[in-house]
Amino acid sequence: MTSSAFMYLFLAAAVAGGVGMLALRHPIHAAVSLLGTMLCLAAAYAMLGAHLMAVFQVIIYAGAIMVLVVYIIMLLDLGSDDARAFRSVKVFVGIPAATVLVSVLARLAWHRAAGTEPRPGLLSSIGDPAAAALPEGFGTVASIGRDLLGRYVVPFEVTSVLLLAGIVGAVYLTGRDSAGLKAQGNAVGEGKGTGDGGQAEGAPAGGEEFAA
Amino acid sequence: MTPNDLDLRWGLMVPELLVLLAGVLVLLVDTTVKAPDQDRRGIQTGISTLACLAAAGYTAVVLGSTSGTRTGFGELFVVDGLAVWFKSVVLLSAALASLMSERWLRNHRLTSGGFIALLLFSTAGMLYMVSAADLVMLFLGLEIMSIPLYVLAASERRNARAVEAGLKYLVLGSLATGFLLFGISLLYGFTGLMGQPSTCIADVVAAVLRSAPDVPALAVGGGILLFVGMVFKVGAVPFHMWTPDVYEGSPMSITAFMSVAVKATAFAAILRVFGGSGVLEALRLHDLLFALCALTMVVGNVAALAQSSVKRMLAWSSVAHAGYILLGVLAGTQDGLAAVLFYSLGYAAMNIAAFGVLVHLSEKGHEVERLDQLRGIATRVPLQAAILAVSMLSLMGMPPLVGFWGKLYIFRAVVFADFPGHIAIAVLGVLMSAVSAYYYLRVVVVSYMSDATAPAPAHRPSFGNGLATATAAALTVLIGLAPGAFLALARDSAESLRASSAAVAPAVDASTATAVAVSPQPPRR
Repeated sequence: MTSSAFMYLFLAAAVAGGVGMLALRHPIHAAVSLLGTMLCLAAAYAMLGAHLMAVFQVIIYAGAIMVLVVYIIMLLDLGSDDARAFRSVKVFVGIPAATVLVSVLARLAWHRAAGTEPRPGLLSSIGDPAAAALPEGFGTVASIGRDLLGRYVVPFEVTSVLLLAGIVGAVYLTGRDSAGLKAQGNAVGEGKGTGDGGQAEGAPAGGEEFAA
Repeated sequence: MTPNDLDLRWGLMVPELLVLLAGVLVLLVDTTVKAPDQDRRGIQTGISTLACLAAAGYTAVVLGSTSGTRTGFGELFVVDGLAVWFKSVVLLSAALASLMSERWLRNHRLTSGGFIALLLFSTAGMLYMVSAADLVMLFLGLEIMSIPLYVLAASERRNARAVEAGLKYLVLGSLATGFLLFGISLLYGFTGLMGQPSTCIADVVAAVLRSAPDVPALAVGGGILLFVGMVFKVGAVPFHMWTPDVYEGSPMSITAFMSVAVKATAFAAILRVFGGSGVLEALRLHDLLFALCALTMVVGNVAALAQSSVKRMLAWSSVAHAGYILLGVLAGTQDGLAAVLFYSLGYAAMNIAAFGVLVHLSEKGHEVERLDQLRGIATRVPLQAAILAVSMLSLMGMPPLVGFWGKLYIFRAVVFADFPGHIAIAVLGVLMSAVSAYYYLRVVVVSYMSDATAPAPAHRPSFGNGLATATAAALTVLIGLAPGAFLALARDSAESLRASSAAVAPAVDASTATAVAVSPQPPRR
């Protein structure tokens, strides 16, 4: 019973964090609010037995991604007055959408509490969670690790191609232009005539350094 | 789990490994080979082209020689007729696109290492996606295909339009990937409800068919999201918003590659998940697809009418062609699926030929994009003008060319299919294809029947681009002259879809009695 009480506590806090993120005017406050949501979700995952997900949630979302978010907010120096341009859109689209969602959820919760079957319809036939018999140890660190390096080892390895492509792409896009790339290799021939003289001049030295 | 259980049949993965190896080699050339940029560009595009051709040859000859479905790597990776066909199309497009890229890179004085390597990585992603027997693999392939393309679209960094193209593609593409991923997780949850959590495509399909006709909302929602994520890559209306801008801002060779190879890959994935097994009907996606087809054909063709830029016109025309190909999926019959395969190959040939001519005519600072820049090219470069005319007539659907046969097979399959409104949508397709004659013929008219207004820029032809254009044009004509042989091949390749859905069918029959049979099988480890 206590565990379910804690579950409700965490989930309520997560929802509160989400509301706070939308309602708070200052971007940093909103970011901290989002952090609260993520941590509460991590706690909920842990209570559901998905320990690895909980750890990932803390390390990746609450850690890395939040740092990125805060960093960008500070980099762009966003004040509380910016980014409110979509207010009217939010009101006109958001409120009806939220109303529909909440009413559907409320109806499901009502039927569950009352122990009755909701009227058959597309939205009610989600399926019966009780029918799902999860295998032993599902979602634990051990089983995810076994899957990752067992059955899913090819996707696991292929992910490295994705990372490589991402790195090459980032270097390609942000490198110092064509002349800059030449400076790393060896600028012989037409490279010198590109007009980016400053970079092309340093090329031969840079080229030898790189080759060595 | 020992490596033996994993079934590491490396022979099946040779094309992917070859392409990846070439990508790494191309990167190494940048740092190790001391040569003028001109030569290095030649070496790198050469490596890329040869690797793609070798991989295509291996795929077609070695993998294609034995029919039947072969899986490996923990049943995540499948090589069947469908995979062999689409891999050949993708690899051929990649080889031609590398050849075409050399000239664009030269015009812009760019080093080619990153560019060609990204092209190859993207190709490898496509190959993985085409061979994916599992939704996880499919997602990974999609990402490996897309991320290099986001970068390549923006490779002309000093050009605001190119940056717009890259950013737009990245943001909208990520959104679509989000849909896809959410769809996959819903379907995974659904298979869990059905007793055995699995992301294997065959398992998901079997679970959906087993719960038919009363498929839970979870599966319907997941199916729709998955479908939307894939259709985005195809560029079907209403998920086409990115197409004109991205195609216009990207380098010409990349536009050609995207319009052909990405489309083929996405169709392969759509066929693999939704093709031929009745999943579309079970998930109630059929009407959605019907509307999507009609909208795509109408919007693509009508918007193409209004374009004054050839590149934008070709972008809209690629939307329209996506609509035609989707018709084959809609038909769902064996003929329809074979027509999808045939059309993907034909579209690759004719579209690459068209873009090849545009690349040929473009010089640095003088990109041939507007229609009036094509004035009088018939007298200036008669051969290129003829190739452009052939590709335009083929895209339009002129009889002896491949475009005609593609449309014929698609429309025939739709007419003989059995779903409400099939005649109406076939008629709509034919009408729209008549509309397209206006904007395709306009290009031919401008290039043949008007005099050049501006003096021709100094011209430095490119061997690679010439070869690519000539090959694509030759394919357009040759496949058009012998469509029967290629259709037979496509039919054989599409056979694998029926074989795999037949494997699902007995399970369906067995469990229809106990409608939602929950069979707690041990998880596959």
